[in-house]
Amino acid sequence: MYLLLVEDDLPLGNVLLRLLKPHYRVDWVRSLEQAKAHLQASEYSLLLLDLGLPDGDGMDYLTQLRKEECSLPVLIISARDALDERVKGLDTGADDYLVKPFEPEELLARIRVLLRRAAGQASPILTCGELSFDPSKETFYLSGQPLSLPRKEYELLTVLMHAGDKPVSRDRLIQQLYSVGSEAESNTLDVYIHALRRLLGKNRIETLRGRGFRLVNL
Amino acid sequence: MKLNLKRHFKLSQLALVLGLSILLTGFAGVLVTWLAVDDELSELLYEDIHQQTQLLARLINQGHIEPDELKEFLGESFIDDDEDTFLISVEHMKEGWYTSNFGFPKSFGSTQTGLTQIKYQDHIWKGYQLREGDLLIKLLRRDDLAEDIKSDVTEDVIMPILIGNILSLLILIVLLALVVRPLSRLAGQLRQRDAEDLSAMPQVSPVVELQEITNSLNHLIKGIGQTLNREKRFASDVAHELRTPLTTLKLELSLPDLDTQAMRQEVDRLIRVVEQLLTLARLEASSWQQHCESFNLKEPLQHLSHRLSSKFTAASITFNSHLEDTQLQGDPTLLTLLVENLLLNTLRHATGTDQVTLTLTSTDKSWQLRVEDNGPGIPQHQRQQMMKPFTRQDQRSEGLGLGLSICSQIAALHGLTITLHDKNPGLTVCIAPDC
Repeated sequence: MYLLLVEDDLPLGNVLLRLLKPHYRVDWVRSLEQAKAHLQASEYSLLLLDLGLPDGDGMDYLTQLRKEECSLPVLIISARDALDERVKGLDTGADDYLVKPFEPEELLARIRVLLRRAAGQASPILTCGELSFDPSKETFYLSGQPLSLPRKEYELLTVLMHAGDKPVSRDRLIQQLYSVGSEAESNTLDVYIHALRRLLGKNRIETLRGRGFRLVNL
Repeated sequence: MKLNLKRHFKLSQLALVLGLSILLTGFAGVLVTWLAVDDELSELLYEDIHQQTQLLARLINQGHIEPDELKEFLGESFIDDDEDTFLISVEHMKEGWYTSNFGFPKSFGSTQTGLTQIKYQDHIWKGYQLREGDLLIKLLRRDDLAEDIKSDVTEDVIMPILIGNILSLLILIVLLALVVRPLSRLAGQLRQRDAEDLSAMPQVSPVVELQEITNSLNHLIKGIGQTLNREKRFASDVAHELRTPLTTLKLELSLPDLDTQAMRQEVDRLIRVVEQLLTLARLEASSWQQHCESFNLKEPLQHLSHRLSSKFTAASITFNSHLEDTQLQGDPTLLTLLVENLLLNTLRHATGTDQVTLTLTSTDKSWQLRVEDNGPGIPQHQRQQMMKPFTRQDQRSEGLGLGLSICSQIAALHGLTITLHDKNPGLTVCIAPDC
């Protein structure tokens, strides 16, 4: 999954990045302007938003995002702990509000919930036929047996799993693998898809011409 | 004479008294005028009649008019033909003749000289009768005429006053409507107001003085609102400045690869925030133990310049200091903190700054300290505000916005004035003893 972290504080941004990196692909920006540019360039699964930013208030930006009918899940991370501010944050369109300081486990759990909910799943285990995924253990199961997946394959399968029966574009999958701007070879993606098909069975990942890939309910 | 108004009273009560006094003045005016006119007119009329009776008596007694000519004379010469409000009768009691100007019958009753009054032709007649020997002369005026004159005079005199009184009453009512009622409405609104409600009060009256009261109240409410907002913002900034490094520390501790360097920096950051808060609290409580001594300001400033020069070099800023020997009374630690804050400010708002100069000049009588930079400066309208606690120039600035506030409090303790000047480009901060 691909997260955008908007946090202007250098040390906190650094440590958040180190906390999230092992679990997700994360881009970190320090201003609203950069956040806007990143949101336009890439397709993120979640936005982690600090409120007091150098070029404006995160809350105003969120209002604008929701006005533009952007349905991206947003988790506010803020030092503002007053009840009215928490309520305002949620009413403005945030999906969750976490007050600093917080435990790392809580942040990770809340991120998992938001991603699961965005995938349209209420159950903590995501399933697609015989294939299931436990986000808290970060493990895939095929017919109840845990799968041992290499890093890149794991990331691709997570994206496909969270998309449910909707197709995922090649661009989105390439973004998951490579940072913005790097010239990724499109056929590298096919290499990883091929590897996944070998592990899961050939028919489990369907290629939709011009629309990308989709997990098949088998 | 000083008016003693210690007792409480209502403006509406005062207005009631004023209204009653206007009414009373009106009635008393009418009454007094009527009585005065009555008095004066009677005196005037009867004095005239008195003289005429005497004149007539003299004419008859001296034989200028014969009794048989008398009727014609009375009708033609003594009064106008058509006069029917003036009655004359002449009677000789011994010779028995009697004449009257319009057939007034010979009357009985008193024959004494003096004021007299009769009823004739449904009218009251008032006049004077004169007895000279056997001659009895009566001159009488119909009374309703006098009444008419009295009414006319009274009317002419009193009418303008009455109109004035009515106008005064109307103005009083208008005043009550414009002042007293809006005032009680204002008081009511203030009484019912919630302590949390800081919205502007509506105008209650078109009267300028009352509008000024409302305006002043609104100005005050706005000021309170701004202060509250600033303090709320400060609380939120304190929360941010304390919680952010705490979060970093907490997350750092949960990671397997501890970045101890980053942790140390975050702890230092926390210590700085706490120190700033403590300095401000102590300065505000005026509980700084002032180590007031005579010292040379040049010495601690030299140390400071040396200490900060590496920071300026790191920010690619050329830092120069020109320090003259300056002997003064004060707390060296506080004054150094003041200059340090000013220099750190230039570093903090360093966008576009590449030169910072610290100058200390001294003459026999006075001294001056200047911190000059060639950065973006502070807009004119923000300068006054900047000296208040918790004010930050912009969102970008880190910290609590306490720097300049602490500076101005230290300056105030030492009787110093801080002024900000445009340098084009840049800003000059001047510190000098109060004039």
